[in-house]
This record gives sequence, structure tokens and C-alpha cells, in this order.
Amino acid sequence: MSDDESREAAEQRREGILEPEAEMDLRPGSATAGAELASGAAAAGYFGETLMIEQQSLGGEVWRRFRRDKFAMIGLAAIIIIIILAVFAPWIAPHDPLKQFDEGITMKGMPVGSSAKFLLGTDTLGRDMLSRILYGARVSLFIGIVANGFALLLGVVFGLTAGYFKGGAETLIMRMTDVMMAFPILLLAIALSTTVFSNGGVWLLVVVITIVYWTPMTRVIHGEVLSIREKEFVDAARLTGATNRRILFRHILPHLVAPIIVYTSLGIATTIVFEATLSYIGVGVQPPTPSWGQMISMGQDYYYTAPQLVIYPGLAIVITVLAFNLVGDGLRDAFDPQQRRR
Amino acid sequence: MTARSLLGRVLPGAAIALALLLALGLAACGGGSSTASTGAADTPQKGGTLTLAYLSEPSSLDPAVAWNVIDWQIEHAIFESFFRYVAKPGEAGTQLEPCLATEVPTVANGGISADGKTITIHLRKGVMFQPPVSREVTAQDFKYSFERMLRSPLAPGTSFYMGVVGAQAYYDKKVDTVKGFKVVDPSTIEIDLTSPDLSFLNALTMEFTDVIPKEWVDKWGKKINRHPLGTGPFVFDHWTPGQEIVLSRNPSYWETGRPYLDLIDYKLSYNPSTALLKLQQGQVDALGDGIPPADLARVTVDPKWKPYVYSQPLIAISYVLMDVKIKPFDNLKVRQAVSWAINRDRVIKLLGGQGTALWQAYPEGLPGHVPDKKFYGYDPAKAKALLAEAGFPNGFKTTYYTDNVDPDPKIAQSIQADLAAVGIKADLKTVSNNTYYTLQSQPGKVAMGSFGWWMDFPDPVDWIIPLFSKSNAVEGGMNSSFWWSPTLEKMLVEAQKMTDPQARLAKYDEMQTYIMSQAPYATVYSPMQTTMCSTSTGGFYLHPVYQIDPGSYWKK
Repeated sequence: MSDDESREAAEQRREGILEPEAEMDLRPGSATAGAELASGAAAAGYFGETLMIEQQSLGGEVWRRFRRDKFAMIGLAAIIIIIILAVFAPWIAPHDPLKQFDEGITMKGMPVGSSAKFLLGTDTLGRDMLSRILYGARVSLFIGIVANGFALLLGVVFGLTAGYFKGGAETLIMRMTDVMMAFPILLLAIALSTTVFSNGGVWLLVVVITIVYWTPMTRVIHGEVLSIREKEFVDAARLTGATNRRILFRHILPHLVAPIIVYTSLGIATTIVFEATLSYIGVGVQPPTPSWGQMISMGQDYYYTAPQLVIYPGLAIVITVLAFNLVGDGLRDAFDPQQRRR
Repeated sequence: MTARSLLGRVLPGAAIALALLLALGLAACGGGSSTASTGAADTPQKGGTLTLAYLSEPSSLDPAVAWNVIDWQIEHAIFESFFRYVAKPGEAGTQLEPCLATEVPTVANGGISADGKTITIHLRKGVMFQPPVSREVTAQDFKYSFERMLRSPLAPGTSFYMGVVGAQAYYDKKVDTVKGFKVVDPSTIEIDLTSPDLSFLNALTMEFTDVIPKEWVDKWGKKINRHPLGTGPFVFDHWTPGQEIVLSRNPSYWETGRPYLDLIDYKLSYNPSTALLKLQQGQVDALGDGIPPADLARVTVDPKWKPYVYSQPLIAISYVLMDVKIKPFDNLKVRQAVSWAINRDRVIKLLGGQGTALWQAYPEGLPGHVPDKKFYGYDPAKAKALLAEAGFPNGFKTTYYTDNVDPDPKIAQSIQADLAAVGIKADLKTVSNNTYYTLQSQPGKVAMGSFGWWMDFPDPVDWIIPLFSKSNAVEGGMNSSFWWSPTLEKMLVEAQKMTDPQARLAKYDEMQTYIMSQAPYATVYSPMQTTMCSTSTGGFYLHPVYQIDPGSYWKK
């Protein structure tokens, strides 16, 4: 151990010298920001104004670029509002989403339209639509975020392992993703939902979505790692005797932040649609838990006579997914200005 | 027949009954042809194809085995037996008329002996089996068909015929022939009963006794369930699974002038909403599953379509089954608690009034129904108390099944909420019709679920045998709670021997009281059947037993 520590110390010392030039542009590494600033300050005389920009942390730089993207900002605002609505649904929702109101059903057994009591009308069981959409947001966001979190975790672990160590591990992991991706995703999800996880529930949906979505994340990470591991600063770290663990977590992982953030925000959008799809076909969130996909499924027979049953939850999905997509695109552009200019 | 889940898709079944109609008659409709049509359009015309839309697929078209609603609707066009119900709507449609027999036996015409134990049936001469068999039907064919049915694996209807002398011994494979089913000569059959049975002629009119030629059964073996051939107005042409079943006119049909249509095309896997759209576009002629509740309010106010809407109260029940082979439904108090927990009035509200709440086993229109009688009510507090007595003060978890066709999912959700209110946490499983039928017919698979039963003939024995008897509490049977009791079996035997209609009915009343105290099902409501035909369909009506009767329809 002491040997390791001394090596790390030595390496840290060199990092300040060896790395900044090559990596200033992309490195998020706030951990080493001190060293960069120090060397940057020393070099101030040479680089002049350019330096002022490069002095900013990556986060600040990205945020500056992101802020200029109006659509992305609108998306971000929408996401914040949706999250607030979802988190505070129990206080915001006008009614209990499960309560069936007698006055929520007409004499002909139809849902009622918008009124002061039911702002968006009721569903086919006489439950308040607005309250159900608000509670449905909790389900969609929870599944979107948590399932993507797990998919991300698996993707990073497998992607890093495969891309960095190569060899047998790479073959095994990447062929596994090939196999998983060769499966029709929907069919796989239905099979899992109806057999292994036949009792439904939000958590089981999280598991299903994670199983389905870890593969694309793994591929993205794998591809990135393959290129990063050949970079000079990695060779340099290796020369200084850095351990694999250190190289992986201190030198390579920070470079993956951009693709991870971008991919995750887009992934959340995809996941929300996927959750809605599964719930729509009846293998997702089970009643009475409100979910947008399930609400559309319940309302589809009424599209002629009460189209709002499909339109409102449909809009909720569209807005949420669009918001995450706009933010994802905005982030991608902000992280990678070259690509944007192209 | 079995019905369908709550509204009508439940099991298969048969038919329904009758009587009621009268009063309500064709409630919603006005009988299609009123406005524009002239007298000429009301005259049957030959030719044309009638397209019928259904969601589910028949389980089988073997008359010995099939008992689902759609099975019988199709079989009725292909097969025939001794008698049939008059082709008219309302109460008139519950009267028997001769079909392959020359007359309906009565004591007056000598067909039924004075002691009620011997029935003599004279057969119509010159009736031919459909091509390619194309030979004359004889009394021996009826005997063969009857005996074949008794020994068919999974035949659900055998207990209707155990009153025939020797039927039980034949069923048990102790003898080689049913002694009481005698071929007197090629056109005369004599049936001996161990005791008089007031409902026996009705039982003989079920599709189970349809005549089918032996050589055809031998030719197809187990595949006979997909190759029906009888004497009826239409000949089976082909069955493309998941798509359609097509029948064509029987060129050698015995009844002159019938049928009118050249072809019947049963479209399978049409969602009811899709079917309605296609009907309005002219691609479908009648809705086998009725008008979806979501669209009812729309079409009944549309002046163009209102005249083509037909409606009749079904003599049927929709109920919540509780499989007594799955804990805790073996516990009587748990079952009673469920019956007290369900808010039936709200279910009727969700149905837009297309049904009648029911707190007894016999629906309105079935002899034995007691007007306004409520064996249970809506009382969550009482349900909770019963659950506590049963040892579940905090309720329990279970699974509730339903099919996926409106309004069943929403009714299931409403019942799920009712159950949750008393502490029973039921996970809702929404599955396709066919999956549901398959699952529920096996003991120990479906803990709770929505199901239904449609009348086959107007007599309470058609409720007791399929739904509550030991003989049907088996795989493939219609007793979907798998509950039975020796007490009830004994009462059933006694009731079937009674010759005084009043005393017999009193016995059936006693049986209902006993059944309801045991709460094997929570009965929920009796549905209305509301369907629609296209503007080019002539002669359309709803039959109280057969519902759809394409043999009487024509294309304008």
C-alpha cells in the first residue's frame, strides 16, 4: 500500500505538468482543478485572453453554452416544473387519484368533462383526471430516473471493463449486449413482465427496463473508453505507474461524464415512453396505481365520445419526453461544441 | 353457455333465455327498416355475404365439448338436433319447435308417456348430412352422437343427461350402449328416463345433442373440433385461426327456401370498437360482441344509426368467482365478506344503466328468480367484521383477473377499489379473453375474477348444473369457483325427479337460498345485450337463446 501511495503522489505531481495542455478543453476534473489553475496562472503571460475561458470549470463552460440554447432552457424549465408537480403531487392534486366520484360519471356511464371541481374532467371510473396525471408523473419520473440510474450503473461498469481491459471480458460483455440487442425489446419486456416478474409493480418495471436498457449504455461507454484509453495522458499515467483502478476512475471516467449525462437525459425520455408502452399493453404499472400509459389504454375505447381521456395523458407524455429530449440535445451540443458547428 | 366476463364475454355459452325480452323487448331499437325501406326491402332476398365481428375465437366447434357463447353461435348455423327455439325475438323465441323431429313430443300427442318417463321422437325423413358426407340422417346417427358426447373427454354437459336410463353406466364405461336411448326404427327414437324430468326437452335442444355423422368423426379424430359437419343451413368452409371462420350455404338443406345467405364470414379478433367502425364503414354487418359501452351514448343519439341498434336483457349473470381451492377462499366467511364488500349500484352506474344489480343467483327472467330479493347488500363494515371473524382483521393479498375488453377492466378496477376498502389487496391481472378462459377453467389458477353465465334454456337447472355442481367443478367445467357440496347435489337429484312444477320450483328456491349462504360467487349484475346491424342487413333481430341467428337474416 505504501508503495501505491507514493506512486500516486508522484503521479499527481506529474499530472499538473503533463496533462493540462492536452486535456484542458474536455476535462471536468474539479479534483485537479487546483493544479490546472496553478499551471494556468503561471502560463498566463503566454496565453492571454484565451486562458480566461479555459480557466472555467467544465461545468461552468457547459452551462454557459447550454444557457444560450433557448429550446434546451425551455426543456429544463419544463422538467423542473414537472418534477416539482410530481414531488408535491399529494399537496397539489385537488383530489385523491383513486377516489371514484358519483358525480364523476354521467347517467350514461360516461366520464364528465372539465368543470370547476374536475379541472380536466374525470376518467371512466369517475376519478379526477388532473390528480391522476399528477400522480402518474411520479410513476413516470420515478421509473425513468431510477431505471436509467441502474442501466447507467451497469452500463458504466460493463462498458469500462470491456473497453479498458479488452480480451476475454470484452468479448463476453460485448457479445452479451449483441445478444440482448438482437431480442425484440418489447417482446423481451413482455416475456419478463408476464413470467419472472408476473406480480407487476413499479419496482419490477424498473428491473425490466434496466435489463433492457443497460446494453445501449454499455456500448456507448465501451466505444468511448476504447478511444480514450489510447490517448497520451493515459499512457502517461501508466508510465508513472498508476494502478488500473486509478487510471479508470481518475483519468478515464471523468471523460465519460459528457456522454453519460447526454445519454441519460435522452434515455429518460425513451424510458418514459417505454414505461407508457408497457403499461398501455397491460404489463406495466398495474391498476389502481395511475400511470400515463395505462390511462391512455383505459381511455382508448372512448376516443370518439371522450377524447380527453387519451389527449391529456398523451400530452403529459409528449411534454415530458420532449423536455428531456431538448435538454439532452442541448447538453450534447454544450459538451461538444465542435460537433454542433459541423 | 358460458358467458363472458362481466358483460358478456365470459364463458361460452349458450344461450340465453328468454323471457324477458318481452317486457323490454327491443328496447333501444326501433327495428331497422322503419323509415326508408319499402315493403320490398323487407322481403328476404337470396345471396350475399354476411360479415359478423367477434373478438374471441371459438375454443372448439365440437358440439360435444364446446360451450362458449361464440362456439354455440357458430355451431347453431352448422348443426341441428331434434328441436330448436322459434326464430323470433322476445318470449316467443323461447318456445320449442320441431327441427329434425316432426313434432315436439307432448303428453297430448303421445310423444310423452303418461308417467313422463318415456319420450318418443319421430324424425323428419329425407334430411341429408352436409356434403361431402351427403347421406340421409337416421335414428342411429342420433344414438351415436349422444353416446359419443357422453364419453368425449372434457364434455361439460353430460350431467344434463344422466336421467336417461343407463347413461350413468355408459358414462362409467360399464356397458357398451345407453340402454334408455333406443332406435325403434330408422326414423323413430324412444328415450327412457329414470324419472320424469320437466327440463329434459330443453336439455335435448342444447348443442350437445347435435347430430354428427360417425364416418366424419372417425375421419378427423381429434381434429373434429376444427371440422364441424352437421345438417344445418350452413356448411363449414374454412377456419383461419385468429382471422376468420367462413361458412357457405348448404345446397341440400331440408327446409325449402332457407337459408338466404350465400356465405357467413365470422371475423375473429375484432376489437368491439374496431368492429363498430367497420360496421359504419360497411365492412361488417353485425357486432357479435355488441356495441362497446364507450360508443353506446354516441350511436343511440345518431339518427342515422339509431334504427339499427337492437337491445335485449340477457338472462345472464356477471359474478366474481372465488376459487375455493385457493386460500383463503376456502373460508366461508371470507367469501361472504367479498359479497358484502362489492358496490353493485356503482357498477351499474359505470355501465350507464346497461344492466341490473343482482344479489341472488338467478337473474330476472329465469324461473326461480325472486323479485327484489337481496341475499347480500353493500356493507363494507359488515365485510370487515366477517374478515376479522375469519382471522383476517387486516385483510389479505390476492389476485383478481379480468379480460381486457371494455367495460370489464373498469368494472374490475371498481371492484378492486371496493375490496381494498375492506382490506383485501387484489393485484389486478388484465389478460386477453382466450388466455382468461384457459386459466379460469383450471382449478387453483385464478383466485378471483370477473366471469359470467348466459342461459341455455329457461330452467334453473341450467344454473345449478354448470355453476354449482360437482360434475362441473373440474377442468373444462363451468363451475369456476370449484365449489360444490353434497347437500346441494342431493337437493338437485330430488328436484329433477319432481313432476309438480310448483314444488320443483320451490326446491330450486331452497337451493338458491343454500347456495347464497355459501357464497361461492359474489353475483354482481345481469347485463343488457345491445348490438347493431348494418344498413344492408335484412331480417335482423336478437334471439333470446341464440342471440345472433344468421339463418334468418339476409342481405338487401
